[in-house]
Amino acid sequence: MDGDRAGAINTALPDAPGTLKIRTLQCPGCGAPLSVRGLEQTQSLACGSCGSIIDITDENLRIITTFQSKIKYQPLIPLGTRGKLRGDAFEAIGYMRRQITVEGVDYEWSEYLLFNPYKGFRWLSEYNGHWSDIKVTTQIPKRQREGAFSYLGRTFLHFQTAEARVSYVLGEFYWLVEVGEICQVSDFVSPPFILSFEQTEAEATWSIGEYIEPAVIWKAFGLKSSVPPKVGIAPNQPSKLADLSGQIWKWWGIFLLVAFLVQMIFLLLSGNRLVFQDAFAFHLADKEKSRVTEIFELTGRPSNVVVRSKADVNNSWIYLNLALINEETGNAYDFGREISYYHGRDGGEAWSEGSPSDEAVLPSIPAGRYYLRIEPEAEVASLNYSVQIYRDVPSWTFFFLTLVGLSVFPIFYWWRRRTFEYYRWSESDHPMRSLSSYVSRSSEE
Amino acid sequence: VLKLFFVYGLLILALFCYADYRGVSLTSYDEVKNLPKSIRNNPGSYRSMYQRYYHK
Repeated sequence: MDGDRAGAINTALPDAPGTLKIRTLQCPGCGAPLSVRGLEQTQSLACGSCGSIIDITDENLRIITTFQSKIKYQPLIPLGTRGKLRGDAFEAIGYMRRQITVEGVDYEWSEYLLFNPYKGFRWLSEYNGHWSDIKVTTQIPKRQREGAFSYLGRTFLHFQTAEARVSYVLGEFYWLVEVGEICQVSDFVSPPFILSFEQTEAEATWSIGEYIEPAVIWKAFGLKSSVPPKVGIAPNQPSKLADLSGQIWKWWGIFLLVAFLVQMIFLLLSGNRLVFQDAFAFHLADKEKSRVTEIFELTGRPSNVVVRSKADVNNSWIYLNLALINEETGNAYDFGREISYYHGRDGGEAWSEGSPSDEAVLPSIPAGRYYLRIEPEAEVASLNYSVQIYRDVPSWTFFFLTLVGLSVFPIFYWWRRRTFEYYRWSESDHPMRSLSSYVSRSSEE
Repeated sequence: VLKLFFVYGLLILALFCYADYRGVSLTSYDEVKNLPKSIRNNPGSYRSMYQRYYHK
């Protein structure tokens, strides 16, 4: 431990003002006092009082340019504020605002330059209350395919390319900054990271940013102001639903597997027993058409009873009034089924409707001695029909209903996640199609 | 949310097991209690509540 401590580099900012070489000077434009905290690395300094940008590498403190801004921006992190961000001490030394114009609309964001004499520079960018912690990449990202780069094992997808223009500066910078300075910026995202490629005529730089919660920054810099609210969704804002959605789908799979196993067990264990079958004849001329069957036994737990009936219907119908009656208790389960079958040719094409067979399921019938009362109705002079009664017949109905029931949650969260991504990408060069557009398109088709 | 889904999933599975075990069906019937035993000897004496002339 001691050895580790002895070998560790102390990257903390010097506490005593005297130990840090803060250079003070007067603005050659307005005489306002200015401080230089970035040691020898600072090249330009923007005066907040008069808008002069001073080349401090020049011994005469040459004013590079002077800009006029209608608004005097107050950085949310006041310059000179020190803080410990993600384990490293930094001091805010520069503030700039940059803007892009897309389809005639200006989008402006803030960038804060942070400095640590041992760690170098870092940026914090803020747009609509969303913050990213940005540093220059240590390697050049590899191009995977059109619109995709890989860096540190992640694939970054192209988000937007635009011409960014510096619109406001305050404090010091490690290059000769100018208001109006233009560079081509391409952003690639893999939340919570964002890769930015900035290209000017002189140089090209890759930087990587990580989304950071504003509360972390406020805590790190001990800011007393209130945290500005977030508006919209940032390009690299991580979706809380991404992990959740994955977990939900995982559990959905487990539940589905359990449901399938349960279904298999019921399929294997179900009796599916034929407990009665008989054939009957219907005669329109008969005075009494009602029939009762022999008594049959339904055993086991309360389970379903399936009544399958067939009739010699040919362009005709028969209606069966059925009652499954418990001989011991006198309880009757009444139901009615129609069997009809029509067919023919119309305009040279064969058609058919109905079926000569039918199936009715009676749920949860308790065990006991039963008989079936059948009262047929038909318009034909005579026809034959038959009835088969099965006990404890397996069914897939509830398996599929379970599938639907289990899918409600994951589909809802998939939809919410997709909506999040839809809003994320709506500000990009590659907006996603909305779900409603799919619906409207399919309805048009 | 995950906990809620877990409970919801278990509930759905429990309902599924119950439905499969008891042979529950979405179809329905009307239950009539205490029919006289004489129906077996005189089937026409009972009038089903489904008794109707039914044809599409």
